Amino acid sequence: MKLPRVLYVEDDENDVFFIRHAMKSARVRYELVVAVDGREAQDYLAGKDGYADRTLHPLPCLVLLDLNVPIVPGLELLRWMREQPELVSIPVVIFSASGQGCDREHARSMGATDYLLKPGDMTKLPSLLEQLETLLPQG
Amino acid sequence: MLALEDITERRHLEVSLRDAHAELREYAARLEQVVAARTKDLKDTVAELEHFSYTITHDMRAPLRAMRSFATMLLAESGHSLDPKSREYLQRIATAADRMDQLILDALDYSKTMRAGLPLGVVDAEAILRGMLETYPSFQLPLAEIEVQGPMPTVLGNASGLTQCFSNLLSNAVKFVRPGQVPHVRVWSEARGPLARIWFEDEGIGIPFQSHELIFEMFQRIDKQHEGTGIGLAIVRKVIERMGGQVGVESSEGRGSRFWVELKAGDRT
Repeated sequence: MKLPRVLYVEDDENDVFFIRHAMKSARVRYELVVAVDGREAQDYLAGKDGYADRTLHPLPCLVLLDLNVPIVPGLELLRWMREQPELVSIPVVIFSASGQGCDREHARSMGATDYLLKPGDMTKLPSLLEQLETLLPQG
Repeated sequence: MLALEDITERRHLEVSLRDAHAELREYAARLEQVVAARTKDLKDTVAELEHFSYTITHDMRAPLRAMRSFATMLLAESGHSLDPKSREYLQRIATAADRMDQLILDALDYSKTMRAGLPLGVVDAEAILRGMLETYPSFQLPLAEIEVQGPMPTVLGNASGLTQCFSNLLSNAVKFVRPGQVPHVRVWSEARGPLARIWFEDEGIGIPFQSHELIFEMFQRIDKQHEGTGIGLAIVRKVIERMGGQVGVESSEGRGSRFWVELKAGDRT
C-alpha cells in the first residue's frame, strides 16, 4: 500500500536530515518528499515540468512549510496555494524557528492549518512528528 | 483742484510683496518634499533593519540548532562508547549552542521592545502585579514568596511595557538567591510628589556597589553562577525611560537588593 505523501519545503539540509532521522524512530505512516525552495514546491504542487506525472508525484496530503525558504518565501507559497482550487484543501503546517506571535498570526490569517516551532534540540522531533500525524486527513 | 500722488514706490512694494509670497510658497513646497523624502528614507531604513534582524536571527540560529542537535544525538546514540571526557565535551558543545541561541533570542526581543509603540495611559500597577502573581507558578509558594503591599497608586505608563518590566524584576528577584534559599520578595510603593516609586526588595545575593550601573547595560552579567543572558534589566531601563520614568537599585553584596521604578502618578478619577 502506498503511503500518503508529505511535502516538506525546507532549504536547510540539516533540518531535513533531522526530520528523516526522526522518522526512523517515530512510527509515522507517511512518506516524505522534500522541496528545497518555494519555486520547486510550487512546481511540484502544480505538476509542472518534471512533476507532471501524478502517479509518480501525487499531490501531498499535507505540506510542512518552513517560512524562510529561497526564491518563493513560505508565506507567499501559502498564499498561492490558498488561491489554487485543487490545492486549497491541503493542510499546510508551518514549521519554523520563529516563535514570534506576529509570524504565527500572519500564518494563521493566511490559511495555515497549524504552526509548529522547530525545537532548539531536534532530537525531540519524534514526538513532534507524531503530533503532525494527527493532522493528516483520515481515510 | 487736482492732487497728484506718486504711486511708483507703492507699486514696487506690492510687486516685492507678491514675489516674497511666491518665494515663501515655493520654499514651503520644497520643504514638504524634503520632509516627505526623508520620512520615506527613514521608514525604508527601519524596514530594512527589521528585515535584516529577522534574517540574521533565522540564519544564525539554524547552524546552532544543528550543533546542538548533532551533539545531543551523538551523546544519545554513541555516548556509551565514549570516555567521560569526550561526553563532557559534547555536553559543553550543546550547552554553549543553547546559550548562544538564547542570546540571539534575547537580542531580538530587545530590539523588538525598542521598536514597539508604547502609548501611555493610566495603568493600575497593583492589578498588573497581582495578575502576574496569580499566573506565574514561579512567583508562587513553594517556589517563591512574593508579598505585594497595597494599595498602590496608578501610574502613567503602558500596560504591556510595565508587565514586561515587573516580570523581569520579579524574575531576577526570585532567581538570584543562595542555593536552597526560598526567595522572599516584598513590593510596595511610595508617593514622591507627582511621581510614584515602586520598590522590589529581595533577600538574595545582592550586587556589589561598583556594578550598580553596569547591570542595566545589555548582556552584562555580574553573577555567572545563575542562568541568564543579562538582558532583562537593560529592557527594564529602556522601557521605563520610554515611559518617561527612571529605574535604579540600592544593594550591597550578600545583603539583598532593592530595585525601584519611578513613573508619573496617574489620576485615579
